[in-house]
Amino acid sequence: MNTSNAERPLARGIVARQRFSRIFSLGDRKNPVSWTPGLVRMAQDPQIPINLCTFEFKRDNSKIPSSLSLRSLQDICLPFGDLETWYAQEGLILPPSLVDSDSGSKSIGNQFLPISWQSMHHDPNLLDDDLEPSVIALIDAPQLAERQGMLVDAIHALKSRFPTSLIWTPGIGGPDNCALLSWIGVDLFDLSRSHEASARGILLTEEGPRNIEETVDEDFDINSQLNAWKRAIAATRTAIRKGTLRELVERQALSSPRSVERLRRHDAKISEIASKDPGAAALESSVNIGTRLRCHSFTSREDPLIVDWKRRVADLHTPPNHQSKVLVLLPCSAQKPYRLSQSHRRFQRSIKVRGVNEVMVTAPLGLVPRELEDIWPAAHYDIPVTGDWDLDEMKTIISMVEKYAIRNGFLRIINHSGIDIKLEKIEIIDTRQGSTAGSSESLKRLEIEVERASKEFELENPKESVHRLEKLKSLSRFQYGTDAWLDHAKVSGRPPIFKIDIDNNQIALWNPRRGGFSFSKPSLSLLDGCNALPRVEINSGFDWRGDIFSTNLKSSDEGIRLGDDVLVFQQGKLIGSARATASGWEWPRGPGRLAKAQHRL
Amino acid sequence: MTDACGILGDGSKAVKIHNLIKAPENTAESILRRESWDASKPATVYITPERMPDGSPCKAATVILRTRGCAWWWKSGCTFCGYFNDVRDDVTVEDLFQQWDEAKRKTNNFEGCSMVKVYTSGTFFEDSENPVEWQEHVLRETYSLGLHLVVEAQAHLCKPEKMAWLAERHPGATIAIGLEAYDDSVLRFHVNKGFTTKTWRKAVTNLRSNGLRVKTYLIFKPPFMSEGDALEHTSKWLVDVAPLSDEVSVNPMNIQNRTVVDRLFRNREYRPPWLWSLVEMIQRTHESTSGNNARIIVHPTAGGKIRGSHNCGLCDEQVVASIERYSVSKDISEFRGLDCDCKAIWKTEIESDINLPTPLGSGRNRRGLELDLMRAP
Repeated sequence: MNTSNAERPLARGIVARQRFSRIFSLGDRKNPVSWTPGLVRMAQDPQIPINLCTFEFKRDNSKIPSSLSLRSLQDICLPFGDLETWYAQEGLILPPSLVDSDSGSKSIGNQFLPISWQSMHHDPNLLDDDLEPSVIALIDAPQLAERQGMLVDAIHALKSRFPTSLIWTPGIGGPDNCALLSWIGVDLFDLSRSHEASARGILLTEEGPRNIEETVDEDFDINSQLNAWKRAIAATRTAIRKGTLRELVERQALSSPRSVERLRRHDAKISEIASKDPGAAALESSVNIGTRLRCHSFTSREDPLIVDWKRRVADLHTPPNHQSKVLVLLPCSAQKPYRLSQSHRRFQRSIKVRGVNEVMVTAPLGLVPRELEDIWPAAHYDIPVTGDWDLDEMKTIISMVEKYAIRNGFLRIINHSGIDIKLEKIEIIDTRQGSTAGSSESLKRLEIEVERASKEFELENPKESVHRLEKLKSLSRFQYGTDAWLDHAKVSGRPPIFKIDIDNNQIALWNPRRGGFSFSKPSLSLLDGCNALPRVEINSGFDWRGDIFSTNLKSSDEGIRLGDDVLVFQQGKLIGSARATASGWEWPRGPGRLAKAQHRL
Repeated sequence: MTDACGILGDGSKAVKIHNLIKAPENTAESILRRESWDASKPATVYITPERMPDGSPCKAATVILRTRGCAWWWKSGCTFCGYFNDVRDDVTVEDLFQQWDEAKRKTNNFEGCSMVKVYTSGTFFEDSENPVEWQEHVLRETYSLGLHLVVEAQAHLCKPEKMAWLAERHPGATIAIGLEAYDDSVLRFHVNKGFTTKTWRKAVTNLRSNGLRVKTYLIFKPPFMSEGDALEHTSKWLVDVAPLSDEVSVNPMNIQNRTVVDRLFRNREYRPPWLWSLVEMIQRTHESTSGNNARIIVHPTAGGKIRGSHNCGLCDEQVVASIERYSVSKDISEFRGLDCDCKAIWKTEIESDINLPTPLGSGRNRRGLELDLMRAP
């Protein structure tokens, strides 16, 4: 049988991505014939439009172990010119519970590679760097799905090991979980569960299985099931493009307890990874202007992005240097950034000194310090507001306040948030006393207490430019772990856009609309000197001009988040910077463009 | 990459499957519970209606003895076999004689029976399992009582000399061999049988040249195999082994305690076969197998129960009865008009198993509320 290296690889590009989900374009990048997430066709399936399905799978079980083939239905393999069929051997595999054993025979494949939980543990060939399959089938997906957390673990390991491959989990996908499976990194599905639904007289929809409604002439035949797939895949693709897949996933998961479990398991796993390497957890450092983060469900609280924010604010963030003594807790506002809201304009009028650290109390982010209010996701989240906090939200906020206040050594908390907070070690003054935050009595109390604290603690009240610089330094510490590059900087410009200069040379621009610094050429060596940015090394001899692809990349640091600026090196010499368009988990071997050039020194 | 998630090349050492199962079952406590029986009494004795080799109906006594058990089990063991629950390595020759006497007492010297099946959870005539003097006693006594004798054996133990020895003491006896699968890959991997198809064919020759009858067991749906593959392969095997056998008994997998299959079952990685698969197998093979003399028996042990071959729960009784009737009548019309809503669901599972790269199967639970069964896995 032929599983030789002569097999032609799939031509693929990435059109859009969010976290671990991606839309691959298949075929000629300029004129793709199909996209993922998509379907794989089997013998018993009806015709499926090519924009949903470009692969046909065949299994020959006449000899044990079975022979497999995956055929392209269009000219999508390199070099172009013809259709392609990839061959593989299914192997004899043990189910996941017997993973300690390596009995059986190995699955074999080249461009189409069958992988099982067992082979992931025992097949050293999977560690071969030259192995770069176009499509991977996780052949014990139905069994892994039956066991808590295993499917999530398996897919995450495959994504990290094979970032360029399309992943197929045969037998478990449906219109009711394809968004969720895409979210954790699956690219290809099949109609097997839809056939089962047909046989049961049930329609498997994007919202889960349900009976058909005869009053509107619904049917449960396979074409009706295929229509549900079409809607589900369309919704998933458009959500990935818009960066709203999480919302779709949270909604979709509710149709099955297993899906809810899977999302929770994935959230927990990725949050854990994020605490060590946010890039490996697919977190972004900035997003496109106009992106919103809609946290409408309880599940949103477990989004690794939210968990990561809460952890970093509570455990790492340090306020601007002149704001280290008094903490002012303020309510959040629907409008983001908060400072543009009516209520916050009023608070600003009552807080007449610059030496207090304003921190907004909110859900699900817990706390948002004023100096961080322009960045992702603080400036982008949206929640339903009833005016009441639930126990979990209160617990989160109180524990974050405690950690943040004690760690940073605050001496007093002026609590204008309306949440009842008591800490043993820090004096807390409630300026609300049961009134609304914007009432004249509350505002007056806030004004008086800020004034009083300012005198008692002899708070600094630096001039506006110093105040701005210190805020940006605090922000830089949060984003990059250092503010050393701002040591001798001066801030000027008209709010909200600030120019940052050293010796009259502009090194960066702070643009709150983008929620990030835009670094200029002269800053690069400075940033390099203080380890502010991740570094990547491109191949020597390569004349780097445009984008960074895995093919011209030699190595990359861990921890690259999508949206990060990275410093580009060649033969150990800093030659420029680029902005990451792919998450850390896709570096350095990911498909398509990994970063877009910014500066060439 | 080792960090990927503890998988993908973490370099941990592989072990044999049977160690994974046996080790936890061989704790002192587990052994104490398993072996807490009286070695002077047989495990089971019962009488059932049967068919004589010539096809005439008769009554048969089945005697399941407590023995030292199958030598292969002590060495390794088949993946589905739970017979070790009835064995102990301290069973003596006196115990065996006492058990045999007890069986005769219980059945009043096999009163009314024309046939006796003597099962030893291993190979009846393997000397290290059962003492020769006891074998000889049983062979001669059953022959003198005019009983047709059925004993079980492993294929590689059916040596020419021993078969001649046996045929001399009980001519025309039936030797039942658990072939399980007529495919060497399956024998090695799925069943862990310990012998090959070639050895089985040799055994068949040895039996037949000594005038002994050949009964062949096939297993339906061994572990690590999907329902769809099991249907296709077992149907083929049945057609292939029937001409070489006097009887073929296809045994749908049932979950025996503390076996490999039991462990998979508890982990939701294995489900016993659908009854529909058995019906389908019979219908597919009927024409080919009815041409030769071999009798085909399909007896779904624990049929209709979750740990045995089962359907949706509504049609099970009827389908089991039809299968049992077919084993006696050899009449394919036993299945005429047999239907249920679950048959279409079974069919999609078979199609998915055959057409998807899911060698361990794509099936899920068969009983419960329709909508809940369809919720995302």
